[in-house]
Amino acid sequence: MFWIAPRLTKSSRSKLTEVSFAPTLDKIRAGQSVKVTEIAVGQGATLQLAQLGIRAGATLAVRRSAPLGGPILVESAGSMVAIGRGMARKVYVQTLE
Amino acid sequence: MKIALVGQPNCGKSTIFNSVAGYRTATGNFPGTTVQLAWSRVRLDHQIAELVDLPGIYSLTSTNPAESASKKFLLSENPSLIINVLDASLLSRSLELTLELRELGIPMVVCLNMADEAQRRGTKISTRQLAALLGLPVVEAVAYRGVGVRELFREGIRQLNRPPAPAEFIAWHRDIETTVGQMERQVESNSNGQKLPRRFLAIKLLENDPEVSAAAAPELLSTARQLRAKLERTHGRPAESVVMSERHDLAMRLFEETATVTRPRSDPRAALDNLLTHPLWGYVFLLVILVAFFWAVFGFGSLVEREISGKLGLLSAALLAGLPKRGLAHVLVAGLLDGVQGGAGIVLPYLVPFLFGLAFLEDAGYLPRVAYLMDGLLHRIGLHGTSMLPIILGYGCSVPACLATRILPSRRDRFLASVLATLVPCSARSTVIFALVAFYLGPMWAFGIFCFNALVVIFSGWMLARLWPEISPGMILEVPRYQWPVWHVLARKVWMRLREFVVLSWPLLIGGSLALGLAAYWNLDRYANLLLSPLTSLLGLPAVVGTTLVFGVLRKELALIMLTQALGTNSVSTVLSATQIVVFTIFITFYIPCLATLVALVKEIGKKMTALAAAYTFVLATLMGLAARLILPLILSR
Repeated sequence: MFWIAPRLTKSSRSKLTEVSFAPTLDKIRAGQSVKVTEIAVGQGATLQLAQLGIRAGATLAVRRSAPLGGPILVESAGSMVAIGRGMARKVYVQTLE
Repeated sequence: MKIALVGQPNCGKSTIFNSVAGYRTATGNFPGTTVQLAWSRVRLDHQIAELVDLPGIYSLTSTNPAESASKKFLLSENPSLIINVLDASLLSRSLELTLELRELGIPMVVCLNMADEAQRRGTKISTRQLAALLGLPVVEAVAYRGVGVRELFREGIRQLNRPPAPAEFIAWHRDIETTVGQMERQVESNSNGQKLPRRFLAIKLLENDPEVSAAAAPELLSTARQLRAKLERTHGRPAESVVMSERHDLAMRLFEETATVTRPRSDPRAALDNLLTHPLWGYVFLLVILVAFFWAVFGFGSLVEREISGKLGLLSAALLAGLPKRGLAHVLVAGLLDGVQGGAGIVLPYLVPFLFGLAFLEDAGYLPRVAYLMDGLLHRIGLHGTSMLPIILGYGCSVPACLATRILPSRRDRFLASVLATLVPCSARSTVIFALVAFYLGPMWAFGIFCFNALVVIFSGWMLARLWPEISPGMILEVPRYQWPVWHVLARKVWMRLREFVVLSWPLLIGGSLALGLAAYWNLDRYANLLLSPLTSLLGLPAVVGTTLVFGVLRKELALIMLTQALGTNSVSTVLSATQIVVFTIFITFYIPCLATLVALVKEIGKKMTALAAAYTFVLATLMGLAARLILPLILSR
């Protein structure tokens, strides 16, 4: 066997984001298009988001925001992605016209 | 010869697999995991090949166990050909995986599937140009209509033994190419029998890929660390993000060179989605769809059950008539017939429509919407929103539900989801609820039990989430567009899941039924009943049901069949009171998952956790049964 068990490398790099007043994805109302400026989540989630086209510089269209603190549904690179509210809170964006 | 179908989730890989695989397909567990792979022998141009349908991956950096299984297969099983399936309507995103696969140096053909969907979205792709720039053959296809599949495989055969040719277009920015080159040289001098291409290993080391790094020599790792630090310094972000952006940029450039985008045609599915994800109507439709689903399954099931059970009942009466009563032969034949009848008459009528309906909702793409709608609520409880998918599958059968927990990224969430999924009444337990409670006390009582169960599941989730506090990483879930399910894909899915029951559980059911007959014949069941009498008397149940509880661990529906055997009558209500029926059903619903589920649990969450889960469900079942015993008489007497 080529390898036995995947080694879990937890990122120890803690990222301190300065206090910023940029809006986060969870604050955006449905129908609005935004540009992602910064994503301040862990390594694994950053990767998962990037795989779905959600990365700094990408343009997203917010489609829906579920009630009860539910996820945000965004359109990214032609596909729909549901992002949990807690995670959306860490995606900094800039609204486009 | 192995051919691997590789693509991002929901790209239509399985449709292609199904259109060539025929019905002699097997699913097997990937060595050491419970991740299921479908494989089939196919004849291609006088050659026999093994076609493997790998779980969908977004990239070769895995984020969950299903993805790592696909990756592991590609890296260690040496497939002779990769068929990379792309959703043409998501071209630029899909090309990122293609670029990564290309580095593996394995002969490869690209399939632009869902070409009709791309057209509808106004994307026109020049296949010729894409093939030229990628240095790989590209075949357009609309797999669900069977268009292009034959050409795809023909092209694939032509590519055998022809690894991807170098392509000029596929080059990264110079400084990154230089770094990759440095890493490559280091890999070359340290290649101890490594089969994978140098460039691939070099890139993966720069990306700090956990699996590749774990297998690498220490010198390589130290070089990788230095080069990663350099990239991070010059680009101002982590090396893996630099590499990923390179791939992304290249994919974008490929897209811009080969595709022209015009106005998309209007899509009625957008309106449907607006309704089904609506903050109010979405929930109304969710409820309507689930109620209609269960109503249809049980409506159909009970109709068929009556037919089959009646016929089989007559048959077994005729067969038994010739045998002397109380003889061993009578006991054996009766046990055998009960087992057969239990499978054909009680379980299958509900299981088949259930699995079919579930596969329909799954393939149509509704389940991710359910997860989207429920995430807020589940998050409040402390669960991951995606847990909803295994829990819904749990209503069908706990085994696939446990396997489905692998889509969750964290171990804790997988544990919680699998425990909750086993608490939900599976179709076997629903059968018990319907055959006992609905039949003797009325359908409203059965509905009440389902609601009660849901409350207990929510409460358990809430409690377990607090016992294992960890911030759930939050949902990131692609919600695919709706698709009209392809019926042969659906049929195969149902058959694959049904086969588990037919070849695994049914023989067990027959064996159990025989064993109980024999135990009664030799008066062995008395000991089991005696042993369980503290429990049965605590729950206020007659001691004879003790054995049925033991059999319930083998298969939940066995408890029902055994109950009639143990009580010696087909009309349970003459022996058991209404309270006893409800207590028995509640206990059966919650207590220890069946054997097949336990096995799945051990594989998925480990022995210790499984023991914990079993103990928890047993205590829960006893407490709930006791509560029902104490409270129900108050309600019933009014």
